[in-house]
Amino acid sequence: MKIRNGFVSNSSSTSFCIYAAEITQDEFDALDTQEFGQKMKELGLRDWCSNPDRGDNEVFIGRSWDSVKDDETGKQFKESIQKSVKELLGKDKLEFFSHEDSWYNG
Amino acid sequence: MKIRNGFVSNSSSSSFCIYGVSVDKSSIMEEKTFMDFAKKEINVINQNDDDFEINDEDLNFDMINDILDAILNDFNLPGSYGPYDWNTAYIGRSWQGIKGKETADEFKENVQKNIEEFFKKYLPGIKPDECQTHQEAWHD
Repeated sequence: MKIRNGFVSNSSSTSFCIYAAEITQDEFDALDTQEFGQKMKELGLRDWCSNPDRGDNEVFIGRSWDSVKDDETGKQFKESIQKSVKELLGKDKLEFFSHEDSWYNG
Repeated sequence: MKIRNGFVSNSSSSSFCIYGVSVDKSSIMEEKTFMDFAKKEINVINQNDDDFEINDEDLNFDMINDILDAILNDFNLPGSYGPYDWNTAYIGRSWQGIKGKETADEFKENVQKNIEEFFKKYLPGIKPDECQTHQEAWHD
């Protein structure tokens, strides 16, 4: 999919718009091995950190909304992420939501 | 749909991720069909103010923002205009708005169709770009 990323030239901004589950940075650090990274890649998932300068302690695991496949419905997109993240983390009870974040890196 | 917006507290950053088109704000301001409609609406809004008089040279994009928004909402195309000093308006639909039973292909077709209808009716002099995903972030 063609994506135009238009971050403004006079600042260093970071943004994402994803459907994901949230875990703590500590949980993520404990899991973050090469094997975990490989499995995440195989499942088509990736991770996003919340703004480190804000003192947040969250990591989001899911997919970006602009990665919806052409023949995939919104429901299928969400269900596939829920299934993959639960499999990746070995957890059955996870809360999923759309998350939009942006921050200025200075 | 539950949406969490995590804009930073120590700065004013904004972002969006839509499928749609970008248009120069100045091109919109030059479109007679839309501007005539906008001026009429501005006059209706200010009809109780006896001193109100609209001059073409005083019109700027911020004055017509709300009117454009209302029209775009009718076409199910919430607009995103970017920073105030940008000359670009973005017209389209957020990817988060894809319906449960709608495929991405259908979503794109629907957005494209709505954009064509909107331009045909209100901005007939502008040929919209090909739709694409626009992701923008800025620091105010």
